[in-house]
Amino acid sequence: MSVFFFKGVALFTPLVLFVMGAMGTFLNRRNLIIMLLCIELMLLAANLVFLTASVALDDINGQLLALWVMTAAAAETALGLALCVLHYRLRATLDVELINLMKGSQQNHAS
Amino acid sequence: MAGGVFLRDGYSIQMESLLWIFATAVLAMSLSWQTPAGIVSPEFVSLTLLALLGQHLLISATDLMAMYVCLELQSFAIVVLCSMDYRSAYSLEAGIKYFLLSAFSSCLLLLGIGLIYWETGLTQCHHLVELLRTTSGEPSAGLWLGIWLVSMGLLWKLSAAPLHLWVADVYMGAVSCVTLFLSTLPKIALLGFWVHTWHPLWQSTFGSGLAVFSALSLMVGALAPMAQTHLKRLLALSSVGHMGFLLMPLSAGHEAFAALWTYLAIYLVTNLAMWGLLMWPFGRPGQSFAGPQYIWDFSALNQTSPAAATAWTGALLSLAGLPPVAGFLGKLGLFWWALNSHLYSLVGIALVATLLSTVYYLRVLKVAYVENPENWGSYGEIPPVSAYLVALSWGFLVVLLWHGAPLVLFSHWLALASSVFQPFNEIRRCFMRGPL
Repeated sequence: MSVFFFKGVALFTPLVLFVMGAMGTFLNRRNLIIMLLCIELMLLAANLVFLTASVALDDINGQLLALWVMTAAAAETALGLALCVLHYRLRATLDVELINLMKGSQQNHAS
Repeated sequence: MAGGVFLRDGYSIQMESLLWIFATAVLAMSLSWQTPAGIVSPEFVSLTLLALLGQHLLISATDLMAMYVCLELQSFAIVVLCSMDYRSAYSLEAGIKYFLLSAFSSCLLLLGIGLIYWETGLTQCHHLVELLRTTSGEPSAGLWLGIWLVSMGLLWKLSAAPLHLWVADVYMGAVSCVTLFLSTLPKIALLGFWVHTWHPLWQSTFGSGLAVFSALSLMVGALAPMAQTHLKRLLALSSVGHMGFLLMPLSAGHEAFAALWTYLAIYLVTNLAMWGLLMWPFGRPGQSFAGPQYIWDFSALNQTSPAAATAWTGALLSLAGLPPVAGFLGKLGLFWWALNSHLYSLVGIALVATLLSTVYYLRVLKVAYVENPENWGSYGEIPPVSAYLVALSWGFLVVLLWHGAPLVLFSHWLALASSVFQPFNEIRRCFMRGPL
């Protein structure tokens, strides 16, 4: 019983974190940096799934996988921040709403 | 097989050589274009090679984690390539969009892998397939969700229909040579991976559920480009439709894969010809561009440069799949196999999509041949390498419908080689069960 309880809680926490990150990326479309943070949150939540699974299954592979993911996440953040810097240099804003030069649709002309 | 993570068999070797041959053509064409276009960036080659390394390994990956790492290697390199011309706001925006959406989709993919690992403790696709077969019931909710999420991540990278929203902006904003890279090579790698390792898992969980994605992509590809006048945007949205065609055999069954590879090969050659023509310096009186941009740039093309007009005709007819050129062969194979697998409604949708897409392809030709020109521009001097490549692929497109046997045989061989694994697993399972 306690194992099931452990598994339930342990899976629930990262899933909630992941959904928070996903909502943040989609709903809170304000600032590029905040979107980066949300993506990082999602990656870390996925990492937490691997780590807890590795404990629950008593298997070392999960921790190895988490290391891979952390490396990839670091690279991803570096790329994102570089893009932020370039974008700020060019347009002096990080507002995500303004990243729609090519939308070609109503939204752009309406605003 | 290296540590059970990568598998190098006849199929993956052939797919990888196809990847590298095509990549060589793409690189030669891009490099010869960059100087006249005024984009000189020495990191282009090294980044392309990094992305190619990721794609090369992706084709032979059999472990989910290896797949994730290869996919990330590829998409990081592509993010930098998209924003290569960082003084242009368009290019930068393409890079940011690709980055945000690709990061989001790889998070979903990663969560999927995490859930699969959580449920089974496995990350190797072959083990997972065996597990699903031997338990022979419905997979548990976590495993089901995991497989669904990973597939969505892969379909996102393939730009299949409900997940195609990034395509138009990224293809339009990126520099043309990057767009050529982006619209062809990841497709080889991802389809290669899907068929090589992922397909049995998807098949045993969702059956022929890809037909839905295929149908949606076909519809988007038929309707969305109708209103577009920007050439790159038009081609980007029509590539979603071609993705729909490429997904048709995947929902049909294993023997239909031959049609998939035939179609893919023809699509690649057509794309090469078309982007070669788009990367041909183009000018109006007083202005000059790195290539034609809008549909109306082609007005009076028939008079200003008949050779270019002929080449465009060949490429566009092949994309539309009309008879005198090779595109017809690809579509014929797809429809034939889909009919054999009793996917009648999908074939119906595909026929309507072909009809509708012919409209916008022919509209481009109408501007070039029929309409009265109000103002016109003309092609400048084409870089010799591009000229040879365009001429070669144009010749290929013309000849292929009449002498298609080598390609058809090769794709049959690929289809057989990719299905080798399944009988092998069957046999092994029989032996494992024997003593019981």
